[in-house]
Amino acid sequence: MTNAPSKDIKALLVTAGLATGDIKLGRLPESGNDKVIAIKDTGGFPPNPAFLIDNPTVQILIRGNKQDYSVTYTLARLIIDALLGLPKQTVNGTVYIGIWMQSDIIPLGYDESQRPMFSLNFRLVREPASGTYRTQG
Amino acid sequence: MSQAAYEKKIAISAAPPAGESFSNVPAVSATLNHGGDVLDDTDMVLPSGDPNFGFRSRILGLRDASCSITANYDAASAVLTQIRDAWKDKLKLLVRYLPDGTTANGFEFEGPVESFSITSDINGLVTVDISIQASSLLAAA
Repeated sequence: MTNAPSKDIKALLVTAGLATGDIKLGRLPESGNDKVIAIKDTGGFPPNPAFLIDNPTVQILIRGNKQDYSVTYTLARLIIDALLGLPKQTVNGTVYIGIWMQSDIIPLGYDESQRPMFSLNFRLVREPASGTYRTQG
Repeated sequence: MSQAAYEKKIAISAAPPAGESFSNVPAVSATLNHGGDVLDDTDMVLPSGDPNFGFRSRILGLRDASCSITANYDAASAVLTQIRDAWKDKLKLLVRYLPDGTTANGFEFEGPVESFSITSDINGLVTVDISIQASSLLAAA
């Protein structure tokens, strides 16, 4: 079965050596470590109804340590380097055709605890391994 | 009455004398054009009392057909390779355009590959636009 895109993106970040802190799926927790990467599935564009081609999007929220703007920004850049322009490859059984960004790094300012936050929005094209009506294009 | 376009199938085969063996083209979109020439046969000496006086008259000349296809490009696709080879070797293909995916309601013609255009915008997928022009009648599949 095909994973949530966020889970596969996490696997790519782990492979890239960016799992030095917490990586959360689906939400950004208020408590816990200050430095967190949160990967959220954000819907995306309509999947192809005839062929096994999906077009999901994910948002990656990066929260840094208090007042640590530059280091947090650098982490955002490293995540871009790990994902943007990814060559075609299989991740957890799903073929990822490519990864694009929908904008450059979006600074979200500081939260109430003075922790800097950034947002990255990625567009993915992937091919699930199987389907009921759809076939491999 | 309507028909979901995702059920359509575009299939190609080598044209005779090679044996027919149809393969589906991974078409994202496709158009089967029924066309032809419309010829002006206006009679310029109609009497002014004729109800058609002052109006053009036309007849249908030679009929024509073509199929244009857009597909996601994959260098490993056997059917796309077959179409490109037909263009390269100037061979005709049999084309089946099946609006509901069945031959019972489909159309078929034979013709050469006019163009095989690969497009690659950096923000999207590599696609190929194919045009096949008829050199036969357009018949039921």
